[in-house]
Amino acid sequence: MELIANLGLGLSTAMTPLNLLYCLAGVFLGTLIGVLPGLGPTATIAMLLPVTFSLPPVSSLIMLAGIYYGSQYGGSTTSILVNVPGEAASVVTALDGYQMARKGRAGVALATAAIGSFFAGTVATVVLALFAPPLAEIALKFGPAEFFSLMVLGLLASLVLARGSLLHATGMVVLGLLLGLVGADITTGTQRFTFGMARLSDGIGFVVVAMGMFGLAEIVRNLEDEDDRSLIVKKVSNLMPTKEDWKRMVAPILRGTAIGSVLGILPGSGSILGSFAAYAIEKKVSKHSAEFGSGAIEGVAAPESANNAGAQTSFIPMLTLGIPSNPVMALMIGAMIIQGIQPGPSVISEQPALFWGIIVSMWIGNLFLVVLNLPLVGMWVRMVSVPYQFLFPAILVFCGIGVFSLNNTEFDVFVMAIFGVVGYIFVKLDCEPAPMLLAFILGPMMEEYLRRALLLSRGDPMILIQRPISAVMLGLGVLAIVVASLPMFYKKREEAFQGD
Amino acid sequence: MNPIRNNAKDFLTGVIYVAIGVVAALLSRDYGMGSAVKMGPGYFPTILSGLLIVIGAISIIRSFFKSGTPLGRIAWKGLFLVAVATVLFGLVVRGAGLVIALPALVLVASLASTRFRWGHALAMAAGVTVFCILVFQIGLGVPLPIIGSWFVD
Amino acid sequence: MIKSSLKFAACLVATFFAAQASAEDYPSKVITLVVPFAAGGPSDTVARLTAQSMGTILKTQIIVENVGGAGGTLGAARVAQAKPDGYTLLVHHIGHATAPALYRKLAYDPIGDFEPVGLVNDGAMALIARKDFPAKDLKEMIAYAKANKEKMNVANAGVGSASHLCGMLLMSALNTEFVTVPYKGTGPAMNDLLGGQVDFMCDQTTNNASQIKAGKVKAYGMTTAKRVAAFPDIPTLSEAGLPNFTVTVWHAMYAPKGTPQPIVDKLSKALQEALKDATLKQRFADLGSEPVSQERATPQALRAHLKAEIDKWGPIIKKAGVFAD
Repeated sequence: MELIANLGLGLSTAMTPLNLLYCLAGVFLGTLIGVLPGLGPTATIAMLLPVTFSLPPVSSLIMLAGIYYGSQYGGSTTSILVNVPGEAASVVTALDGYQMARKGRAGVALATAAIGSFFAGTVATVVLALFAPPLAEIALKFGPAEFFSLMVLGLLASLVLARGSLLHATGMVVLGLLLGLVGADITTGTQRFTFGMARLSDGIGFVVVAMGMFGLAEIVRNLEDEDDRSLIVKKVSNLMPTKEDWKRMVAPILRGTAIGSVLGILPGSGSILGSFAAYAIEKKVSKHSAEFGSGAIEGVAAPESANNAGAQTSFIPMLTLGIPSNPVMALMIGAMIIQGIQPGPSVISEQPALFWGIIVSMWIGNLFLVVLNLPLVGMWVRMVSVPYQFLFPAILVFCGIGVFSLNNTEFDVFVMAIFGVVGYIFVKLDCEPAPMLLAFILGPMMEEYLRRALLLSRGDPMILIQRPISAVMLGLGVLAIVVASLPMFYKKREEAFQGD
Repeated sequence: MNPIRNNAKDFLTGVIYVAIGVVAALLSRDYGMGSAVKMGPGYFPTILSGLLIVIGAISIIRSFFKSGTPLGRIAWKGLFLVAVATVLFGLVVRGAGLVIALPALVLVASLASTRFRWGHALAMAAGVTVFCILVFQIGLGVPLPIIGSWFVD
Repeated sequence: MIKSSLKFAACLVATFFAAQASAEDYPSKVITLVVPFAAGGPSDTVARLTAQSMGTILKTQIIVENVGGAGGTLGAARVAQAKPDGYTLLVHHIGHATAPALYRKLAYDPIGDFEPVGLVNDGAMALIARKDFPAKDLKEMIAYAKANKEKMNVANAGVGSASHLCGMLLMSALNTEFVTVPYKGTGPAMNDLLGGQVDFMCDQTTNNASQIKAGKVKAYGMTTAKRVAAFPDIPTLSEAGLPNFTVTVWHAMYAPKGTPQPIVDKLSKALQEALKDATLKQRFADLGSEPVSQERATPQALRAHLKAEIDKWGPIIKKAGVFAD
């Protein structure tokens, strides 16, 4: 079997002591920057790129890859513990993970995230090994029309994320779309909503908005009544999942892995859409859908699995076609070129040791992550029980340093402060930030794809339903609206909302 | 029925949506609408602003007929101090450096707690500062000055 | 209160002079090299290879900072406003010369706000089409494109990008117009070309060398005057039927205006040294590009070249009636 021979080659490459060491260094560093809010993988990899020049190509790519998926993993920790999502994909994890932590189940939430991520990572590695080239070809079938429809579907699904009023959630989505448009227009270069500030011409940073609306706003909310909060944290229950928890997380992990693996292959939005979609679908199909938003274990298991699966499969277009699906992959391509490897379709045949070595190292890296992180769960949980008057200034410090270091500008710190205030106002008004953040990411892409699709069809909107994949997705979107507007479902939503 | 008293959430949300929508719509007028075939940069924002105004208006109207849950306690002091601490950090971090910016942030933010004690807060400020300088500045190489340009050549 | 503000002002002044005086021991800290494009793109790669090599020569770390957006003008503006102490540099491509014509509200003067350090490389561009494009050579391709003018879609990596410039030049050479489809960078544009969503594109070989070698796209010609060493079988556009069609994407390094002359000279020397590096030459060659000759990696040569390119592209862009803002 060719596959076994290939995996054997990969194993012999990845298992050298040097490469094992760099893999470990990568995932450790990744976990660290993931846990520290604001410091993202893009900035870290860009900073570390010069260091890797002196390493052999395989080792350097193994380490950079480790930083990436390690950070995707670590990002969930702060989401769960203190409601600060440092990564776009961890926003959904914060929804139920943080609620679990408030109920004293932080340990279980963290363990669930670790288990889900490991399983998803393993499956995605197998997918990568078995189907990378054909999957990349399928991803190429996605033209502007398909992407636009996918984004529409994503947005409609985001309404499911909301717990409160559907009207307000819709408003938040529209607001997020508008916020996403801030900056220079791609087609014409027109500056929109920038008020003449050059800093805004590249748009507002996602992490800046997310940390303001989640992290800062949550701090203020906790300051409303500190005694109340201390009481909640005191009753820490068991650290590891119970038998019941295990039973409940299996299906969501499987579904999350599947969704994440598929969406991760698509360029641009893959891993972000993956975690949102996994959460939304889980909320629809789960027997415990009423618990979502107030600490459902499924709400952690599904998006975390999807997130990690997507992080792995997003390597597919990069390794097989030489096309970056996100900024991190673009950096990886840069790293390959600097190492003298021409990224592109020929990598598999010309550099088999590199290709298979990276794939196998991903699985090893995931194993490292679990071994590294499960013992840490106890420590993290104790951290949350630190009295709040000490905890929140520290969170604020991490947010401040992290946001500053994104672009090395104090401007982002000020913007975060503004979004902290805005976020608190919206919390008080029961307008939830999660749908807004998803719309914020999808908005500019949606506009870009729609304008491009219409340009290619010479202005004929029928292209959106003439192309089969696009039509199916729009159909699903319509179905979602219909279901959401059914009175029966609406009643169920209200009940679910009042239940927490 | 008085919307402010009985359904402040719907009413205020509606007002905020309408206000943002109107401002965005006015700004969008300068961007060039184009046509559905060749959409200009103003096309998308105009449609979105309109949608936001409509949603806001519905929310305002609803607040007159349907009562909602009360706003609850508002942490004015917390909101103010957290925002001020963050902005202060941004203002001084480059000039004064981490040794000043971090304690400033910690102390101002700590004032927001009802359990504030000077001793505790100062100890906390010192601890956080040392930790952050070790981890971010020295460990991860984040380009933030320990002592800022105001004090050093 | 007043006393302390005065003290503060004195501190600022002292800082300013201290920075001026440190030319001899330059570089004494990390240098930031601004690339006005996203990480992973061709300009980024060129800049990183150069930075790595120059860093070794100058015995300091050169960090590449990607400040993308608005066709490279945001990153250039940042460097124009940076402290002229030699610790903030810019590597920009041909777009530095076309910006004055493309942007009506340019926040800086490409000549007046910078100290030229030197040219870095000349990059070839290749005219490529989707794999199933029904033409076997350039002549057939032109004939087909003209006959099916309404259906043709030309991709580019955004307003003002090198691929946009080449596309404009092509349309003006063929005296026709195709629908131009802008993307956010080369990656997504290449994605759609591979997927057959668009018909053709003219872009730097840095981006498409691997796709051409793997036969994922059809290459109809190179924009250089001579054939490219990495692709001896691909004709130049001039020999294949578009006489005098030459565009190269050249990269160059700049410092902010007012950077002390000794520092600029030191940088220029280091740049010349770096371009001699065998590894760098090999990497450039892999990408279908080559470092410029030693005498062109100088401030004088860059100043003259920049002026000439501004004069060349201005009229072409004006004629096309394109603006990026």
